[in-house]
Amino acid sequence: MDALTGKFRELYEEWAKATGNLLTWDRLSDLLTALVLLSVMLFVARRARRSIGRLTQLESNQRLLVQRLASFTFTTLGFALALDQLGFDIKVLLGAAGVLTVAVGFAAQTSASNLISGFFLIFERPFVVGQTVDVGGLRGEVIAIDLLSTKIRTFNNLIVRIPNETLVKSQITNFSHYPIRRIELNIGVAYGSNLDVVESTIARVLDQHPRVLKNPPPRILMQGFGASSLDFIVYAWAATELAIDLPSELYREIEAAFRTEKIEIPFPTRTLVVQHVGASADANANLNRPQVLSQLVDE
Amino acid sequence: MEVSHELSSWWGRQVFVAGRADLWQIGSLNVQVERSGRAWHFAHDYVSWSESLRQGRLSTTPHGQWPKARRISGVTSLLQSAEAPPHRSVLTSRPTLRSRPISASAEGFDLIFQPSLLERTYVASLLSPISLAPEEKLSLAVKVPLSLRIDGTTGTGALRPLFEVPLEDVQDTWHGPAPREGELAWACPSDRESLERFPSQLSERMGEMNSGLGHVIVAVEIRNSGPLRILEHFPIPCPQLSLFHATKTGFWTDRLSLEWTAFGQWHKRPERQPPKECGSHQLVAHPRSQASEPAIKALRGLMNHNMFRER
Repeated sequence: MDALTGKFRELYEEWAKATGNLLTWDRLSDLLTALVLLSVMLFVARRARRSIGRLTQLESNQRLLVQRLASFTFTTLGFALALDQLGFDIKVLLGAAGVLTVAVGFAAQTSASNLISGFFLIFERPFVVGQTVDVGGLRGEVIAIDLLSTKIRTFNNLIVRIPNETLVKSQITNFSHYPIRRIELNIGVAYGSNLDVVESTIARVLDQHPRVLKNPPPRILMQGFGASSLDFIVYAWAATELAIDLPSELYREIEAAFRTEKIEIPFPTRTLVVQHVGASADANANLNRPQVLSQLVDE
Repeated sequence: MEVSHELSSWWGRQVFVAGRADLWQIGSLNVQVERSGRAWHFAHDYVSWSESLRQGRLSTTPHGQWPKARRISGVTSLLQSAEAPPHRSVLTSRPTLRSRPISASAEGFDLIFQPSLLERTYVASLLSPISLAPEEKLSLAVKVPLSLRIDGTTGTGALRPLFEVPLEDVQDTWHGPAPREGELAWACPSDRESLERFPSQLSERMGEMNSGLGHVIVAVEIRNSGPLRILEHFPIPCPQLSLFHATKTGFWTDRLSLEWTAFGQWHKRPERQPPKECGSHQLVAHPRSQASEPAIKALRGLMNHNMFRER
């Protein structure tokens, strides 16, 4: 092998001398080695990207980020090794890169902050694409989580771009994180209603509705004595995607069931007592008994 | 004009005539199918037991068996709602119409009715709770509703699933130790009637069990590897089971081993073959999904780590 290399070296040096080529055998050897190193590292970077792309356990955003990181790492390493082989002092380059990083860091502070926040969002996953969230009062569906910003489509079909830094600092409510949600129904019945009948009627409606979860079981609680009604609160569990429509369905069915059971749903009433100033004691005594003059619907 | 006839079996190829609305009655399920120029339309509802008895659809046998499936051709179209409101159709309630668009070049009006297992875990409840001593084993046969899947053409020739619905009006439930941990599952609204206990006499009773329409039998072996416990309900992971059909004994799934661990969790292990009581059988459908390997589960758990998750 050495003999063969030696023969090549001799041939090359003769050719270089004849043609006036200044590139020595050693330099050529370093150049070729550097090229091979760079090619190998670029190949490894490409393979790594593909392998990571096949990891189905990762979310698409996470996968993209890991792919970019792997690709960047191997490519940088390849260039560093190649430069080292060519005789460049890597320490000097790293030092220069450090200074450059600080300079760029100052210049692009906001972008860097958003970028780092993007990393947090992608790996800590307070939400994923497709989920419904509330960020500082803005409610909508997450349609993209990018490195610098997150895009949310509101329910009236507007796209809102929120910088990732803002998201990290904000309180986020994720409505889609768990597959089930508890819904609440507020129901009032007239004073004098049979409370057992009221409870059993509500329970029957909940039990018969196929989309109300059997487990966790619904709860029916009396909340108190309202201004015009005996107030109940009903807690029922349902699949998250039904949380908007199901209360409406249940209210309608409970109303129908109440009508069948002759349970009255009262509306707010106001009783006016009119008292005549200066009237005789007998007249006032009569008027002290509440006398309903009219019922006004309280807006 | 409505023409009704009994079907020898509710699954298989159904020849559909364009421009006509047909209704299939399979057990408590009503499915109406229509095809307009650009779409297939499906609507369904369920008949209650009391309504079925009133209609004469349900016999008064001790087990309340449903009669054979029936097809009624030429029912009132749901698409012409202005002229024929839904209450005039055979469907009892106001059904939701689901449409599947088809390409202009779509050929063929045949529909394939396929039996399939539910797409979610089914939570079976016991008629009366059973106490299980440590290391005690229990063999049960559980009757689980099947789903009806309708395949048809939406383009040129190729059959695609168009519609799927459980054959019984199953109810949503949650299977898990807490609302933050578990899965959305199905339960039988009539609660505990679906389950019978057959310790070591499965073969004697299976004919009786499988007489119902649109059910599959799941042979389950439950082992308690924790302390003494009261068993009230347990999960049947339908998406992880294969579906088999035996001419004599009806529909079956893979045998299922359930281990109730000391931590109150269920380890579910399908055994990839039906019980021997099934007899001569053929495979109808492979599992919809495979159970995750522990390593994959652990990795997924790691990746799904969430700062908002309660611990």
